Amino acid sequence: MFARCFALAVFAVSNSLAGAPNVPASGPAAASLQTGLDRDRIEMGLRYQGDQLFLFGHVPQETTDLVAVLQSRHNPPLKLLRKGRVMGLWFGVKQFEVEGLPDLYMVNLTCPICNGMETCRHAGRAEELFRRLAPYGGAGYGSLRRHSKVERLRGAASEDDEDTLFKGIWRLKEKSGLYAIRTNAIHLEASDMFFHSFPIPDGAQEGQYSVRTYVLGAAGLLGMKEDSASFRKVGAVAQLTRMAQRHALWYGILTVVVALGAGLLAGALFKKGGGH
Amino acid sequence: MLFGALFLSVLALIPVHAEECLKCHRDPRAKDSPPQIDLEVLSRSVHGTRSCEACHPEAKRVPHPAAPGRATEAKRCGRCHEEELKDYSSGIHAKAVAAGVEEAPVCSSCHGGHGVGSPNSSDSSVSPRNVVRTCANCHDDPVVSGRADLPGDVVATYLPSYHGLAQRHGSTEAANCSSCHGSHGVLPASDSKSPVHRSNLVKTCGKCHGDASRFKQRKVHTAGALGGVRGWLSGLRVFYPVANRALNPLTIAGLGGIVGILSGIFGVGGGFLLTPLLIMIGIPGAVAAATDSAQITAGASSGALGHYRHGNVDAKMGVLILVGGIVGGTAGVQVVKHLRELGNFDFVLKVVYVVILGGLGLLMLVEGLAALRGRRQAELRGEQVEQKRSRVHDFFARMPLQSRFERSGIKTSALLPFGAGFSVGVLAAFLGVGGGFIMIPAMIYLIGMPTHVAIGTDLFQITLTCANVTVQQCVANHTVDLLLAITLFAGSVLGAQVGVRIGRRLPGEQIRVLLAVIVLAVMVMLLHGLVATPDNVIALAKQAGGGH
Repeated sequence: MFARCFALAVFAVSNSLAGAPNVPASGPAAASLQTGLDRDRIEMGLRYQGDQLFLFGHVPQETTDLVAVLQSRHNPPLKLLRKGRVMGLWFGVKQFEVEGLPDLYMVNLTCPICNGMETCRHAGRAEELFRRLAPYGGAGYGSLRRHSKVERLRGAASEDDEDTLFKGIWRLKEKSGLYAIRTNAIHLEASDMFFHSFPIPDGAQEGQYSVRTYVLGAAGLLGMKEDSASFRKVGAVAQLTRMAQRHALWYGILTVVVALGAGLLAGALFKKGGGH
Repeated sequence: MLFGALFLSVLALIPVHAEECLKCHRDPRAKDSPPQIDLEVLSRSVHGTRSCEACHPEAKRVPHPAAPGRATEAKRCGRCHEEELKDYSSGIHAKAVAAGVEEAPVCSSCHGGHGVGSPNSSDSSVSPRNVVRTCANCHDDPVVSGRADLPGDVVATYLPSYHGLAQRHGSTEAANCSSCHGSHGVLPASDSKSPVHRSNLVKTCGKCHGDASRFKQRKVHTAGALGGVRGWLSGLRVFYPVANRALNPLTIAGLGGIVGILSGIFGVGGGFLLTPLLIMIGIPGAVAAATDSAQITAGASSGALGHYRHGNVDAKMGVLILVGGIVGGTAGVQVVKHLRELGNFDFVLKVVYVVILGGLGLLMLVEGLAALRGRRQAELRGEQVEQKRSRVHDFFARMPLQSRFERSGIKTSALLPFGAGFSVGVLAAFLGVGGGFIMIPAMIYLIGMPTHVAIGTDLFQITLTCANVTVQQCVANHTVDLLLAITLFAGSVLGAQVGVRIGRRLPGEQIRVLLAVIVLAVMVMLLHGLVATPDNVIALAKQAGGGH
């Protein structure tokens, strides 16, 4: 018991220092935790319309809950405006820069009552699960806030700035399908196998993504496993993106040539059509 | 030794009266005739302890009569499996067998012959783990699907679905073919009794998902869910590389077409309309604005060529305006850069925009309507309509660098078009648009150009201005999406030609009135954006780094 407490304490300290969870993966429970992704590479070609990342695995028998967190590893800083109303008109009165926010952040949770099959009315459990995970890096809205840094670039400070800012960011990202907390999204089978998927929106950026699967039992965290996947542009999509970034002048000239060519060709075709 | 013991133990399971049959049907010298029995397979079967006659009563006689054939197989099995026979007989498979379709499945097609296993056994071909593979034997075979006129993509679309993936990774609870379609009495989805008929989907999905009424009514097998051309069109998506969005190219080409028509009629680039429309369908603002310049280049060049053929392009005037515009635009960009650092500049700009557009729109509307009335009265009197010269024009007529502009039919100082271009360039840099709908009124009211020549000349200078902006955007911001631009071109270049033809049929006064209405509409739209309470008080300003 002492050893377990000590291990968890060491883990919590190391976690808070490193900013990332490092769950002890020892003992029979941790050993029987296995996770996997259907594929570790999502290809974004011309026909890409968003995708789904399918996860499966085996959990220890004493598992009561699972929390899976998908997030991007490439997290560029965000510049945001806070609008305010002055003399009846709305405009950006403050500007902020936020660092450490993932571009994509999704959390899938189990609901032991509905088990991924019914419309779940137990969304309140999410906060409870996030609280239980807090010592291990946590998950959800609160965890994102804790792991990001806000700098006010313009405008006067006010007490509710951060609260309004994070709620606003969450709404912005949620609207584009990039942020989500999906309760009752994991199905746990009688055989202790679990299955779930993350819907990947077409607006997700290229890069590396990680999925952390936390397994909770009545006594606390039973284990954590991390899987990773890469989203890569391929074919013509990749070539055009690289050209736009690395050979911008040629890309610009090509665009203008194509534009003028298309315009003049249409003009010539209409002339041939004998419209005049 | 061990093998021998195993063989004996297997043999011990075979009913004694089968031994007679095995004399011929397990003859090592025979190859295929008579059919050979694999004792190991038979021993594992749920029928392993049954006599051969139970399934092959006709075989009592030796020599055996001709095999009864596939058509009667279900009836033979049905002697013991009555419920299954009843169910099977009502299904499409039985009907196909009766109709003589060679590929239609009978009992052994799915359950196997001598190795029939319990559905609960993981080895069975009809166990939850294997049933998809069993159905796929026919439904994923292009030859069988083709001959039997079956949809060829049901397995291919099931496998990447949630159910398919869970199945593949070992789930025994995820829905397989028989979970939804039934097992023996499979019916086509078009049959109202089928569990996958539209009217039964809630009930069928509800077997596992409880309140399945919340599900969207669409097929699990997604490809061609609507079927035919409609299905193809609705499912058509292209992933635009720089915009990083998958969108229907027909929608984008349609938007390009609408803007092209406006461009052809009024000589405006259409950026003020297209950019918000692109943002509305999901293109990021920076990409929408930058790509817009490329599409305006295409649309305007198409329109300019059309106007050039009709003698409506005053190239000399256009070049002077363009030079003024480039100088003004460059100066404007620098001023804007400094002003932005002071904060709240965007807001001030919007207000300025609303004031300018409102004033200009009202002025054009009043003037256009008055001119239209005057034209009608003049036409009634049989007189020619002449456009009034502005005081600005009179002023510049006394300035140096006088030049004759043949196409426009005016003589004025070169400083006038240069100055007009400069002013609009500054304004365009401030407002972030091409400035077509400011330039046209300036050409008509300040310089005194005829409406049609003003439109043609404006398109000419817009082509060159936007070509420059496109290259600048590519180099500075990397936000031009070539693929998106090409899709927009497809609509806009055609739209521009249609617009030119429509414009030719409209008198200048009418065009001015219509343009005034559009300018006022844009003003109202902007004003609404300033006054209405936003859904979210937090908005993205700009990616600080690492973005495209």
